[in-house]
Amino acid sequence: MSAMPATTPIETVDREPSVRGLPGLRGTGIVGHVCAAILALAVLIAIVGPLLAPYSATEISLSNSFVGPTGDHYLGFTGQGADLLSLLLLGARSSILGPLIVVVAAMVLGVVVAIISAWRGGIVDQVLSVIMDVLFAFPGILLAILAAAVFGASLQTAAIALAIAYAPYIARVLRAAAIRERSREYIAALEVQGFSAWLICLRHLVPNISGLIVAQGTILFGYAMVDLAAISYIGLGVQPPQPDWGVMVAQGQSGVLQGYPAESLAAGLCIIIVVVAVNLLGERLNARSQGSAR
Amino acid sequence: MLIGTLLVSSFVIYSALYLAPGNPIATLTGGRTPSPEAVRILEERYHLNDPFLVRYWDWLTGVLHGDFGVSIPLRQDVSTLIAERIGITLGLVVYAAIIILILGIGAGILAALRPGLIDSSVIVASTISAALPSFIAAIVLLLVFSVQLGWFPAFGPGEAGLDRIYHLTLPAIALALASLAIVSRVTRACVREELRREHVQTATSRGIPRHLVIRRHVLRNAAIPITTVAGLTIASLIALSAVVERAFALNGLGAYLIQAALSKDFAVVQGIALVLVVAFVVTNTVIDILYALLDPRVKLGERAS
Repeated sequence: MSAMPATTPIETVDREPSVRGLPGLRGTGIVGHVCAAILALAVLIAIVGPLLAPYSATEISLSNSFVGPTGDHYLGFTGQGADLLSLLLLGARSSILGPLIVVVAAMVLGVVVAIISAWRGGIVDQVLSVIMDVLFAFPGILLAILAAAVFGASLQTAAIALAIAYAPYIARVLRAAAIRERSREYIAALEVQGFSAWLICLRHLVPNISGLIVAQGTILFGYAMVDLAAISYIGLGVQPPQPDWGVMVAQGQSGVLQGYPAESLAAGLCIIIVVVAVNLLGERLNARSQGSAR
Repeated sequence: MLIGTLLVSSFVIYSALYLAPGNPIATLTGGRTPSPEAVRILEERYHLNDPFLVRYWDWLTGVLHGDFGVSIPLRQDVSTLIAERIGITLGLVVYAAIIILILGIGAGILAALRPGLIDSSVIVASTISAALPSFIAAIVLLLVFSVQLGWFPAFGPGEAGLDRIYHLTLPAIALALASLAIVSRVTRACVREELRREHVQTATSRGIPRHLVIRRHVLRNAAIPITTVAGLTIASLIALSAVVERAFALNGLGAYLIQAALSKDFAVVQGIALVLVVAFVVTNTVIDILYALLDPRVKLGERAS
């Protein structure tokens, strides 16, 4: 996978003129709202896509191979003679919900490790740091390839491998934030009052760094989507004939070489639109959470 | 620290694939039922009955002597299989790294020093290339430069030498594009920041020529963060090269790793995974050392938290 600027916020986004908007998106500007709308639409398609798709993925006839758009088939056919629009709608499910699962799993792992590290400190912190350091040695894609070799290639295997590979990056960023929060006086006050560590963490510490958690999760989604699609592209993720955008880029490649790039380009474009939307939104959320921390 | 990480990583790689389901004897005999005698001989030859730790130790000491074991399906030395392919992967990653360093840092410096048209075109170009995942970039490059324009070959590594460089050009660009964007943006931001520093403005106001100010004061200071980011993104290309090799049908290490993972050739997976992890960890360590050399304020061994 590509380097993760999640750990090193490289640039700050210029504040845009503030528009009144949804509470969760406040301070992200018009761009943030547009991106959020695109993402909401993408998730909606991922959920109801199979209902919208006019044809099924298995309705194929080779006589339609590479036929362009016709009256009932708005985007034409793939090299295997399936309806391209239907494949895109059907493929949205694994292409979007897959990375979502990766992000949720990685965030849960990362948050738990970060909070335990920050709260306990000392030897516990050191042991967790060493484990994370070893995980840093395995780039996400490499871990996914290893997992596919051991457990067989599937979306589930790839998703679990990526979640484990991403967790250290999340844990490192959140650990620093959690340590800062831990040293605040209100935490000490709650401890003196005898509240349990669990309660303080769940009720106070985590909610107070939730802005950063959401921002990191959003940025991570972009990486997860690209990596998961790449893994499906190389044949170690979603297995055809199950429709998926990464798989479609791979299956359309023979068409590209024959001068019929529609399938690869359409699936690639879908991936890029969602990734760009999520990255722009993530950058803005991150800038906002760092602004509020100061 | 470096040795420790590498040792634990090697253990993780070996034990993960050791625990994987599957029976090497069945692979060796191709599904036929072998006689107990044949099974015993095979177990003897491939040390299948030794305890786990003994086998790990044998593998590890073998690796340190350049012996990665034997691919059971192919009955070939893994080290030979790796040696045949490592050149292509190395060439691809180094080629991409050169593109990133020259174009990325060059464009970043140019954008920072020349606000206006050059600056905004660099920003637009980097925004587009940052959004292109390597495998989609590969498809677009294939479509434009090999299918439509016919300037570059669509696949294969070509003959060693100039032909190899020619064949690796599109793959290297596909691999470099996203990192190119990151490096040029970071370079631009760092150079901008240095230009605003007081000592730079003092030097300018004292009448020191602009090119000297930029070379001595701006670029030297900006080099520190740029080196780190460029190094980290280049290190990340090592694993990503597998995807690009697959896209351009290059028979490098990464493409072979994928093939071995699909065919469950565990000795090959272990060997290549170890080579890639070592390359990744060593590159990262070199960046750490370089960082300390460039910035005399940082002492080795004291990590900023």
